[in-house]
Amino acid sequence: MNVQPIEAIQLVYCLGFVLVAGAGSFVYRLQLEKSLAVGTVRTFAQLLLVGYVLSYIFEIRQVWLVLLLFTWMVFWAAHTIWLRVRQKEVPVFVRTFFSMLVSHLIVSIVVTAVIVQVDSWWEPQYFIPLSGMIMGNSMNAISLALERMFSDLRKQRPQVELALCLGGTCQEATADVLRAAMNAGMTPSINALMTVGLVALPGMMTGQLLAGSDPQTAVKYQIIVMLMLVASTAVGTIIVVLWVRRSCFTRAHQLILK
Amino acid sequence: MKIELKNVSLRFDDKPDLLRDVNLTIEKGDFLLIRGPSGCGKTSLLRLLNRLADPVGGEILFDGQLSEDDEVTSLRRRIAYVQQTPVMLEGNVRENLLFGSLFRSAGDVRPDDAKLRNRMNSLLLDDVGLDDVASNLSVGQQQRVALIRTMLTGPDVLLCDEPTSALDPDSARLVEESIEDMCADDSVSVVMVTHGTYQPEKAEYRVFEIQQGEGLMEVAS
Repeated sequence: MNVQPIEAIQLVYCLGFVLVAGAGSFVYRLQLEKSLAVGTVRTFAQLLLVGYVLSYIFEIRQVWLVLLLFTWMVFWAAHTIWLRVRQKEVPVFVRTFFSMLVSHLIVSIVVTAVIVQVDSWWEPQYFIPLSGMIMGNSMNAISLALERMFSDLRKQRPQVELALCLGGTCQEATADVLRAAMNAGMTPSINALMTVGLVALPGMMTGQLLAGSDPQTAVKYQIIVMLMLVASTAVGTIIVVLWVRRSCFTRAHQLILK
Repeated sequence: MKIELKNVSLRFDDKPDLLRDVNLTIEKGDFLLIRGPSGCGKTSLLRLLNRLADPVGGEILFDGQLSEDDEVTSLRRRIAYVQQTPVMLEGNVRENLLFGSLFRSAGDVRPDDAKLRNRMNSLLLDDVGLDDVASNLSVGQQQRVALIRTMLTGPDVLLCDEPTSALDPDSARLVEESIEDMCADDSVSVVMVTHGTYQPEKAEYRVFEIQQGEGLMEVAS
């Protein structure tokens, strides 16, 4: 593969892009200059740090270390979801964390071991980037689904309580709410299947092409990734929504969300 | 069914007590009117009886027993609650009336059209069709559909939250009479929250007044 190396000075040139954005913010008084500066520093720091960590992990090739990094990624994904959708009355973090940990681990292993057929399923070069993509997409899908569920439960409280009054369980009373939430979570990844390659080249494929991969190989990997993301967002969303939905009710099927 | 409230208290979060030391016994066939100003806890009292909420203090006994959490769905069918604002679901009147029969706790009971029609006629809904879109009905008609929907669960106790608030005096009287008849015919106990001065004509009744943060006080009917 013939990859054009990037030197430090070339990264410094990129700061010009940030200055352009900052100038726009300054001229139109958007007051985004500070966020831009912090975001830029964080981008450099986080990506350089993860670069060193990945180099280390790729070098020593230990399964426990790969799983530790995977768990760390799930933790932050669940934390981000919690920040976006947190509710005073309903615990979200623990249920989201364990649902994502189990479902994403299974999908990641299936992809590396069964589909890509890497020698070891945990091969860091494959397992970490693939599970990272799963995490990023599922995080958005689960956030959307939970936001929709909490919003609908509040909006449709009279309908839900009507069903409870008439002898319905909380599962029966929220069947429609649950369907709408799962739909909201899964739709973006299904829409992506429709437009991939037409509107823009996906990030992973672009990365492979920039790294000198044969386009045919890059496309095959991208197909695997797209289908993997549909499965992982579906499984993650369904499990999390089912589990968190139950925690919106007491054992006596009383809606506790205010 | 006999329901006993013993020193029942209710409050939300850090707010002052909404209900405090409420003691009440509802015997089979009783007809109770609950009166009091807005926001004094009348609706909350009905929600406690239906177990849509639980008290923070005291206990509620159903036939002498505390209600188990896993039996709450069948309890709610026996102690049926008609919400103050009628909730109409998407779909026609028939689908709304049969909503309660969709749940596992309902078993296989599903009333036929003749029974639904009969119930509707008895509440002066003769001109409303079973295939009419429920949300197009007037609020008064919706309130009566909601009442029938609840009665179809075959309750022992009927909890009504101002069931005639959206009706003109004649329609209100008719609905009240129907509730009185149901109470008498089927030995259904009724607990009715009301703002007004309604006095049942066909049933022996008791009147209670409630003040925020206090118990229930029986007043001369």
